[in-house]
Amino acid sequence: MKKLIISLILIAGAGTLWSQDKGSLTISGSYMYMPQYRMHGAGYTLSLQHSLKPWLSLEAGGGYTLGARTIERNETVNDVRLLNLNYHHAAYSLYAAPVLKARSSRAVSLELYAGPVITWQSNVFDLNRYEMPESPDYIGRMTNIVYVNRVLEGTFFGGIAGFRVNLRTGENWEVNLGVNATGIIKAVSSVNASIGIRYCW
Amino acid sequence: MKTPVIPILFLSVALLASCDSTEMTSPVVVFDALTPPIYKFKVTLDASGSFSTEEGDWLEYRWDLNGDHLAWETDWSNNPVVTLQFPYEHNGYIGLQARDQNGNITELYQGFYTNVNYGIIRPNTDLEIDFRTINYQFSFPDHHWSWMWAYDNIQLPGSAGWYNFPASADRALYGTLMPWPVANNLEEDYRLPSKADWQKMIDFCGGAALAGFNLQVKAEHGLQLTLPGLVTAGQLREHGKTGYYWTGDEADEDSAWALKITEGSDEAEFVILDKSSLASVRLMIEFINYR
Repeated sequence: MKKLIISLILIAGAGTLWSQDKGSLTISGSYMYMPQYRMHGAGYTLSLQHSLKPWLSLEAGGGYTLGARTIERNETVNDVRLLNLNYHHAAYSLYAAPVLKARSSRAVSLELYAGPVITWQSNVFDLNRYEMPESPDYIGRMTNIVYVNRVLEGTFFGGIAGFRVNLRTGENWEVNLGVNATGIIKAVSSVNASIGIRYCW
Repeated sequence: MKTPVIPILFLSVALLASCDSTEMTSPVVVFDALTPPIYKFKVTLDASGSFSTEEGDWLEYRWDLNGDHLAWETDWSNNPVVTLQFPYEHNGYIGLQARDQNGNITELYQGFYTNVNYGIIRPNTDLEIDFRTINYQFSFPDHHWSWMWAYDNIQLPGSAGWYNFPASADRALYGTLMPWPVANNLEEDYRLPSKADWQKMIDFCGGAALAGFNLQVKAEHGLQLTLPGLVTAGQLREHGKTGYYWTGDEADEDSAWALKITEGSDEAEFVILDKSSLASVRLMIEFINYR
């Protein structure tokens, strides 16, 4: 349901911006790092920009990210075999941000942006996973593996800030490289490096 | 929006995104019974093999002893060991939670099975007053062990050489208190259990720390030892408070070992009594059949 609402908002925002005179549509892929939990991942973002002034635009976008981390253990303590731990992250995000533009030439421009984010995240963190020693006959277990995890899931708010460098490659086309940080309150924040392609009209 | 807002937002978001890394872990929990559990017998559960994966951390424990998943029968405690009267006639779950100092919890439920194979019979004996026996059966890969113990305290007809309780109900319950030489020559087939025999029974009943309780438990599969007391110098002492049961082992010429159990105490111990003291008797016999 939350994913559906986010998708509808994304489509509505895109439609609004698309109806304006000057704008652009960008699709980008990103590498993501979540420092708090040291997860790595990847994602994509779709964003629309509407120019208000030569140096100022409004941008709205949304995306999907996936991340993971494996903590290697493979050691035995007190006859208990500690198994690897895994963290998993998945998120849908929507953001809106004013964009400051600086253009050094017709071919290259720099954009700086920051704004609010709403995200739906699902995070599963393994707290422990281990294999118990063999049990005597009077103890019955379905499995010798004990698994403990923490699930952090829901809709969260935060902010996004970043910059990107645009390189014009054609009359209506640009390629951009960017870096941004997404800070999410009470959930998983990330820093991202992205590469994208933009169509301008 | 004024342009200085963007750098401030940028900095705020960057700070939020790069907060300290968090290592999350929960304790490793393992627990076991120190002896095989038996219905209504006290058993000690030991979770001391549990540990925190955080260095310098320590754990607290709480138990769901009836496995109902509804409430915890103990409060949080630093003690990884708990003693309970095993609540399941056949099998059931017991749960444990361990909590580290960050509040992370690991929960473990394990199924426990109890299987005491026994039968109660009334054998033919040399004695005038019969006694019942409980026959415990144990199967091993290469042999079968039948372990038969008197299910009642041995009762003898009235005589000046020993002590019989005046009331017939008491005589049936407590049996006869007799001196060691009489106890040691009662029956041709059944013998007075040695210290080693009693020690096996103590081990079967949860070890010396718990056997005092378990030997008295009113459960069909238990010996249900009573507390007749002891007669010394013609006086019945400690009646209802202690039970002394002769062993077949002499300590010296004048004294012999006896098993002592006490009301309200979980412990069983061996004590030395003068052979002329009048104490209780259970007899036993065992058979081992190799396959």
